[in-house]
Amino acid sequence: MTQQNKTIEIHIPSNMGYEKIAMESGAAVAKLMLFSDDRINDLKTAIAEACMNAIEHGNKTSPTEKVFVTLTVDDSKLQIDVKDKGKPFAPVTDKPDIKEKIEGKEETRGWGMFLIKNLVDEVEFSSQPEGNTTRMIIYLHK
Amino acid sequence: METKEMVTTEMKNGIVVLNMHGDVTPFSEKAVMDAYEKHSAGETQKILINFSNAKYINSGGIAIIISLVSEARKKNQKVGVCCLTPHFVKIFDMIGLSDYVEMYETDVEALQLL
Repeated sequence: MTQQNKTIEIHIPSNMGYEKIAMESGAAVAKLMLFSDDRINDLKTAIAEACMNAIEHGNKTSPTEKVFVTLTVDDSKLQIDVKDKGKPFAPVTDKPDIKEKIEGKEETRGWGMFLIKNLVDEVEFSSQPEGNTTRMIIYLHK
Repeated sequence: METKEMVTTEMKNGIVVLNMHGDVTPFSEKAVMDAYEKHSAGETQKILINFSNAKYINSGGIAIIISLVSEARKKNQKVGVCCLTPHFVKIFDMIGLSDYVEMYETDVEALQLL
């Protein structure tokens, strides 16, 4: 497959479960780009988590709002932008403390951004007045 | 989303086995915790979470496993997990959950060694 800035856009409803549509689409594109199975699995989890953040924390599961996922294929990398239309929110970026969670001192959720950071090569989260964007990049030869 | 059976329970070798099915997500929480509470009363000392039939696990599903481990520790129960894919073994290591559960590649191994 010859890449050269091919772009795929997916719009999913703001309901939990639909993140799997974006996840599988990202995996299909990564497979065409000849990413390894390990990297594809990493990417699937990262896309699912970014979409879940957008659905839950960005769009607040609003039935009138969509999550916009853009996959941009380049020769050396795959970029995934996940955008919501919600108010700015601050995802947890530090490593959650598993001990505190096991001991019941913290809620057990809050792993999304930590997983994303550890599964893709680059991640950037930004908030604009019109919504929030998580940009993730994985490189073919890393 | 369609709701299907999310967890089935069986007793093997004195171990309560929770078999996860399909998606392990926040939607599974009630089914998983109810199954755990119902079958882990009394003298139960060992819980095995079997992921061989799990198709998709997200961070909300991992949070449920953390809750279950948290409850089990209060009861001095030992928790094992088996049949995770290599990707999710990596995720469990990454978040530190593998420090709190016994990890096994297969259910046979888990039932022998837990």
